Amino acid sequence: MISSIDEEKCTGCGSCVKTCALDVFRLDTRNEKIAPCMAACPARNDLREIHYLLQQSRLDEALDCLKLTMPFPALAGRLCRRPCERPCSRHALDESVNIGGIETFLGDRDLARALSPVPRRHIFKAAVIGAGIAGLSAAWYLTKSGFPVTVFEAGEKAGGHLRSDSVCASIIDIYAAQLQAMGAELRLECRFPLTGPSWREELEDLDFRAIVIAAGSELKGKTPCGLELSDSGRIKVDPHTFQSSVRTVFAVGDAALDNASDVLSMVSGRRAAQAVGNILQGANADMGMHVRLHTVASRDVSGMEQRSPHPAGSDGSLTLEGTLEESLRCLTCGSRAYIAYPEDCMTCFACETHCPAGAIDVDPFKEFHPRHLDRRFIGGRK
Amino acid sequence: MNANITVLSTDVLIIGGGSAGMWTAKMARRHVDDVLIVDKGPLDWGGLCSMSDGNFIVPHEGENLMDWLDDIVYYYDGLCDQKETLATLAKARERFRDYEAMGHTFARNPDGSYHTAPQRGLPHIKATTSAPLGKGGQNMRRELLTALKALNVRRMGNVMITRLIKDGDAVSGAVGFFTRSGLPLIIRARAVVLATGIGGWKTSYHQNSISSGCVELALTAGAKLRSMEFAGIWNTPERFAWTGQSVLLPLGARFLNSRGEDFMLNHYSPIIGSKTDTLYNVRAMVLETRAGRGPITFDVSRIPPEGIASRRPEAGWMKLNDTKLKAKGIDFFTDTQVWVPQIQTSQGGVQTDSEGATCVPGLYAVGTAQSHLVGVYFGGFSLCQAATSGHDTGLAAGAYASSKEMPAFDFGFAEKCLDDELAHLGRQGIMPKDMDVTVLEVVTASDVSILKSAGALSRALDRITEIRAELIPYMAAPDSHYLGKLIESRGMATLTEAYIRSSLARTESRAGHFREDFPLRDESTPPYWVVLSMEDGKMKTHREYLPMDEYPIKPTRFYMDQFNWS
Amino acid sequence: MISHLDQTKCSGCGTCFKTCPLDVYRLDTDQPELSPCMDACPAGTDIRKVNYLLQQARFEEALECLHETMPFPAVTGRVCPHPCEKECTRHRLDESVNINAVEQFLGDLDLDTPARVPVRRHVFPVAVVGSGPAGLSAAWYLAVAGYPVTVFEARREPGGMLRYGIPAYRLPSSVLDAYIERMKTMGVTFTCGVTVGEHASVSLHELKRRGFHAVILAPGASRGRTLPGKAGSMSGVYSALSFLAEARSEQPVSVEGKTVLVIGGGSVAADAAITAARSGAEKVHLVCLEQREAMPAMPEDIRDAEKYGISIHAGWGLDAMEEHTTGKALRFKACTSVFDDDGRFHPEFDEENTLELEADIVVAAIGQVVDAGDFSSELALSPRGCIVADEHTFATSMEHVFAAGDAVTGPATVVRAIRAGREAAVSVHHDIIGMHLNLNREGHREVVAPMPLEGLEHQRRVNRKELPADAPIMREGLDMEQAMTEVQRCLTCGSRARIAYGDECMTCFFCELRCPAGAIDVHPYKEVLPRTLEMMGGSD
Repeated sequence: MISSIDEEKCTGCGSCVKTCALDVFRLDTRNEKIAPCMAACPARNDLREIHYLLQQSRLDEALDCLKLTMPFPALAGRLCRRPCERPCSRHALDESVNIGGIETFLGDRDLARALSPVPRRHIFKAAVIGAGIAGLSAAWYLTKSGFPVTVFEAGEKAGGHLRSDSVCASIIDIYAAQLQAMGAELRLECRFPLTGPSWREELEDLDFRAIVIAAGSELKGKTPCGLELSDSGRIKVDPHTFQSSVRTVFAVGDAALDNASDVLSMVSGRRAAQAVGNILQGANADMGMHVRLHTVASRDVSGMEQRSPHPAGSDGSLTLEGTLEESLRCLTCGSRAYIAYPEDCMTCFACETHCPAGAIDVDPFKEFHPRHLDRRFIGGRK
Repeated sequence: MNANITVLSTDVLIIGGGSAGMWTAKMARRHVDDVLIVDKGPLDWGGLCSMSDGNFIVPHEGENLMDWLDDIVYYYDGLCDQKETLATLAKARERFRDYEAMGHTFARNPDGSYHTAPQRGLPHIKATTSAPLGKGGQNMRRELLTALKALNVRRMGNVMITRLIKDGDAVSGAVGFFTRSGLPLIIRARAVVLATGIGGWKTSYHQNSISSGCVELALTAGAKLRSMEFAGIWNTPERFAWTGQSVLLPLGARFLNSRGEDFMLNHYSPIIGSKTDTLYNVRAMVLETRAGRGPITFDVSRIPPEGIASRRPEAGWMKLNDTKLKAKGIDFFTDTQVWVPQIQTSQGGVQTDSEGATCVPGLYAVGTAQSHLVGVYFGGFSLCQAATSGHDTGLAAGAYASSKEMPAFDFGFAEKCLDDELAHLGRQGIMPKDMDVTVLEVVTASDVSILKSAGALSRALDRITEIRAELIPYMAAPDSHYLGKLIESRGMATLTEAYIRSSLARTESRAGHFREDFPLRDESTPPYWVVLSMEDGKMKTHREYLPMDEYPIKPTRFYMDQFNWS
Repeated sequence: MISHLDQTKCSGCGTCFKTCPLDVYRLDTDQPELSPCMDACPAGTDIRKVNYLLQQARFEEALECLHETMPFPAVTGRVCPHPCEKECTRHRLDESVNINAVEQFLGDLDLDTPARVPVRRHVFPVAVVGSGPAGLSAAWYLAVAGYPVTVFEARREPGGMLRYGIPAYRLPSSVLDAYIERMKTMGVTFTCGVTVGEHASVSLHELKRRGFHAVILAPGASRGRTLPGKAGSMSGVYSALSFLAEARSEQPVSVEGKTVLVIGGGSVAADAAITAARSGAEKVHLVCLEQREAMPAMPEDIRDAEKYGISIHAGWGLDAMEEHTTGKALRFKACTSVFDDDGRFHPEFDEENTLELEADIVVAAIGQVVDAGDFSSELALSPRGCIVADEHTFATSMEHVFAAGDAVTGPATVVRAIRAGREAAVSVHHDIIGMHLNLNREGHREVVAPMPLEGLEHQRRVNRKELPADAPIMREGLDMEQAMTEVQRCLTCGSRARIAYGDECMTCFFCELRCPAGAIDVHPYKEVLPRTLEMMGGSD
């Protein structure tokens, strides 16, 4: 009968969860220390939790968790350079987990979601100038928080520079439609003269209390009225909140960042949205945004079984069973195993023999079962 | 339709990823492109073969198959599907060579010949052992899995199938859910193969999850079960597990009663003593205990030192077990242990033709899900039969699927089945573990499973009926893990009813089935199977006579005749 | 605008939470370290969390939390010796929080709400032997878990020491009866007038035969010790337990107009003495070995005794007792020490120093013994006759049989018995469901460092109102307003405050000013609100 797991020795690799035929174990993935992949991820996705949820076939929860930090996983899975895969602990064992492939699978599931209007929780409107991915990201998080949002886009369609790729363009069209289904307003072919003298008054007249500039690189060198510029000629912003020199104006993406990757652009949109939410509720822009993170030490992979990645399709995509299988390769670094359903243990020792850390103790005595020799059947309730 | 349901589609759906299911998948791929295996255990765990030593029944070059068949017909007291058994024996060597081609190592003697172990004192039957000792099953699992990955066979773990769906008479797919999330699943398929085993009573010999098998799936789909009156009854130390008694017994171990007597040799089994199937030893244990000469102990004192040295566990779970027992002050080889009987698995199965097809078009069964055992067992046969039946049925199911269009699918009915099952989720009610033990209390009564009698079986049937009416409707599952266990518990109750009814229907004693009220073979009628099916929502049994005229061996001697049960 | 709360400095005193009129703050009480009161509580109650929930008027949740470890707060709120209060941080500041009175309040509130019938989750019945606090607790927790439970009780009515040992003025029968009725509503079956044991009406074997899958033995230590020698068998001499049990019956011992002398220094002695006084005794003496400060009785018991005019003679041991026509003459000798250097009971006397007293009735409250003789052939017993049970799992030497309460420990407190009953119920569940007995047990937790007291305001403790000597009970429980006032004094030691509703802040700095730990930082810039001048259409 399963007796104990030594918490000091357990490294959270999940071998017990993946081995036990009776499903006795679970993992606790909450740890203030983040996994190496998470530390490398520019979006700070909780990859450990996402992969664990997938291992448990909790697909929608995995996607919800991903969307807390990455609004458009269908894009990120295809565009991100995947710095997470290099520090993946599995590198030392066989090959890194196909984290990007998993993200793409979840992203495609995301595109299939039918969204309904988000309940209105706030009155004060936010304006987003530019419907590139940075702007769409800011609009997404603000809308999810229940703010009324209007996105002004100069072009015919949303997407900014990503429209040049046809796959990304069709994905962006879906996300833009989802955004509108959630209740955001998207005004296309609507150019705002940011360098003109009265753009801020015009927006205030329309009752927007906060503005997020996501107009891309075209503003470079040209000062929007009233805003300070950085040394490189972009709008100068606080590195955490993306707040400009004017309290109610924020700038994200290429409008503020030099050489930002697509993922970083989306992250900037998210952070600005959080800061906008703060100021519109009367708090400081950076409330709740200072979190110090420590990384868990990289793990020892000796004693673990090798398992090659699930083969991806020619376009790099994974099937459902491929994603589930690939997620099982994740070693969920920093989590802790616990005995969730001890009464189902059948004293087979498989968990103890498979645990690379020697953390599990199974008592050789089995549970009491009704015995043949105890009595004969005299019928009725015993 | 509920947008929450994941809908998958495949050519051949295989329920169960043990060695039988894996063989089926491997061969079905010859005919179709898309094969999907789902298993209720962890992905790729390989089922029970991964716990086995990898012993394989195979007649090698020069062996006479008829001699082997004769052994089996004798051992089974004539109740042997001879065509099926002969086919298994005939194909065994091909599958044996397939394993070697996949990289498997069978043990050899110094002279290069294969190392074999005789079984149950039978003159011809031999199991060929795997090398290294104790790793055979794990290696077979790995080899089959490598083959499946190369063939792009799709596999998913932690999926519990709850119902087969039909289009008219033919099977069209299945529904189920992921046991760790409750996410519902619909799988459309052109052919479905049951590779689940037939079930048992979760009595933990060591790792197994033998519970409900496919009893409910088969019966609700309209398939028939056969030989449900037979069950594998092991004997085991009271509190812990120990494998290898069939090797220890020939080395000199004995079962003794409280007077220190070797009751098997002295009385019940004067010819071969206790070197027989556990079932016969267990029968004697019950008789001795009833007569007041219990408890029964397993005595190893007569094993010579070199014998003990050769059987001391060196690796794996047995080594762990031994070390921990010693820490508790128990040394298996110097202490005397009390042993008790413990019913393990059903040995009935789904009735199929020679290709593994059931009476439901498109539905097949392989491995231990098929009926071919009669309560007595010899080592190595399961792995052999899993490979031969999986191979041949894989080809048959694949051919069937490739010849058919994807059947129409009744989504409305499928959704309703899922709703009914998932309605248990998140509610509080009677826990599955309590149900398991309650059912076990019925079947472990010695007069219901070992020394059966009409009176006890009838009372047991009343009790199971009562359990199904008064307890099962009040079961609930706080989460999806428990929902999986609930379905297993419910299946165990169904299996137990099938066991009891079939036991009542066989009014004789033969092979693994013993009736105190009918202690002899019924010579007044030709040998028959007990076949069980659902009619108007109730279980009904009927007899089907063995086609003895078509069988090569006419039984004249019977293994059971060497025992004395009075 | 509230900017930052440094949790590393926060001591969890809740001052910010209790101060802020805009309700910006909340506390997180689920912390790995225990508060000092929690560490001292024998029941393992999360007092910190209960008090925090009560501070927020979350009565139902407070009761739910309390019920996790304490099924009968209306009982313990009246009888527990409350070791928690001695460790309370406020003890060092002004006066300990009246944890016991708050518990009584919650318990009485609980009894006012209808009982909930637990869902049947299990099918295997469990037998509990003994319906004292340990047995009732075990039956309660098994019933809540969904097990069918039958309680076997030797006496006519359930309750054990709660009915037959503790006087009604301290624990009214109505409170106990209310809990018994609740348990019956929850599906527990009580079978009274049945003893269990080898030579009794029902044996352990018989229980097994009747289908009980496990048994919890909680028969208690209900036999009072008698005085040694012929004194013990004199008429008019009673053990305290019989005296108290009979006080609850139709025919109490008559003490009207008589002199009663109680021997003993513990709460049972005080109970006997006060019972005698309330029953009309003309004079009551209480004589004990211990010195006044070392008397085991609770300080409030001693104060109560004095309120009833009971003469307390501390530091005397019985030397001789003789029966005369006018009553009994007792001679006591001075007790110079009670325990030896090893802490063993070994009283020493000064024979020269004596005290003579007379009495009509003598009540001996000198201890209780376990009566487990009826299990002696089946279970391992200790040399003192207690049932041997594992200290963590409460397993006895027989499979599927567990034991809890005074029968295992010797005479101890109600609250300790309740804890033992709960743990034994957990073990039974593990045993039946097939889990290792050692799993999921409460492990050791560290106690939080002592909270610094500087900066904390003094506040008067709210006490239960003392009632006149002839009232049926001694003190009135707190009402809701009093309980909520008192519970605000709790400093929720070891919790952590957090900014829950930061946008409500009006930048008044009160939290920062009052925080004793200097953990709060309020930014001087306030939020931007619509301004008059802007509204006039000008620019800012």
